[in-house]
Amino acid sequence: MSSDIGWSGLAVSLVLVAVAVALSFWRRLGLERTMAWASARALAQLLAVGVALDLVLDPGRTLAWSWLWVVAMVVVAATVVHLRAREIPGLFPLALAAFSVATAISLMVLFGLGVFELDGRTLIPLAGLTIGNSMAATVLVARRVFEELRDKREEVEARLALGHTSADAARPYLRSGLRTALIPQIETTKAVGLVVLPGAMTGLILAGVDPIDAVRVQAAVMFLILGAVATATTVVGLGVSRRLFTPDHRLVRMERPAEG
Amino acid sequence: MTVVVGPSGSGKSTLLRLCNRLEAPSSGTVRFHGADVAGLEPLRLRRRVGMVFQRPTPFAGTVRDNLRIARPDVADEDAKEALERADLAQARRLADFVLVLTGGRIEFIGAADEAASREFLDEQ
Repeated sequence: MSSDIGWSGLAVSLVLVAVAVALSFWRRLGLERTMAWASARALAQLLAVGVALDLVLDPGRTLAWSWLWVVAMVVVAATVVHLRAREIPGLFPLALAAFSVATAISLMVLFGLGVFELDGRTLIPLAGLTIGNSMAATVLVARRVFEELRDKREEVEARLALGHTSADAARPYLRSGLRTALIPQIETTKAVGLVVLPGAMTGLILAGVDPIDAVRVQAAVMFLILGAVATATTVVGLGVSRRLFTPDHRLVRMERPAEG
Repeated sequence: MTVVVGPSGSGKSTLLRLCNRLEAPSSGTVRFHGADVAGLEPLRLRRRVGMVFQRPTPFAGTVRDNLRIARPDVADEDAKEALERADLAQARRLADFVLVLTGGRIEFIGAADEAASREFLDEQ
């Protein structure tokens, strides 16, 4: 079975973009240019990544290039998280730490225990899955903990006034933030296969791999993602809640965004 | 007894917050029995200086849960005694639920089954 759709196949798939553009035009959504631009951008980005991966994964090249690629992914992801929640002080170093720890733990388990063989072809995609899937949850937990501590200032200070440490005073809000960030991933893990065939498995099946083999890889990937999301959100949640208190257990002032 | 009076915004709350270090002064010192509070351990200071906020901020759960936030190991006997001292013993049971309505009004409701069956309308 062939998995190569070829350039002509890719060109034909653009018909589907044309369908979306036509629908937007028909219903006057005004999204035609945005959709065309988004599709063109996605194609250009993917081609650029493909060329770069081709270079990095060349059999003659040292694994150091792949590790460098992983480091770059961690830095880019931390930057994206920081930009998506600018109101939170010191989020960049926290996100950097979170993705580094999550990636390190995931890769140590997957490669250290021999689930996958260490190779550029496994390293980059698995690190990518770890980091990419943790990003949304990381932004969510950072925002949630920040907003809870900002909006429930009176409750938090009432706890502090009773002699609680800042860690104790923050605990209920940290817990609720972590639960909020983790539940979507748990739901996805539960529903996997029932509605949506997840990405890795779809890709493998399209590439002609036996479905049972594809399932084994996919299950490992799901567990990898769940572990990574839990690790990254815990690091960021703890970090944000620490940063919002002074060493002498005072809650710092947090600005509310201007209305509108 | 010392009473501090002043128009709103004059800093009465800030003064109190400075006393138990919920706020740190940008200049000057705050003294408690002659000692600069900046040199006192904040958690011990706060356990010594009780603070009643302008707006009551009860926590979710029962009256007992609320008392346990201050003293996690409080025995029911001691908790009842505390309610008595606050003149709440007649009206409140430890298992009553505490609800806060908007505007800071506090409502107590009876046991868990009653709490589940009652509906609450919020006045804005």
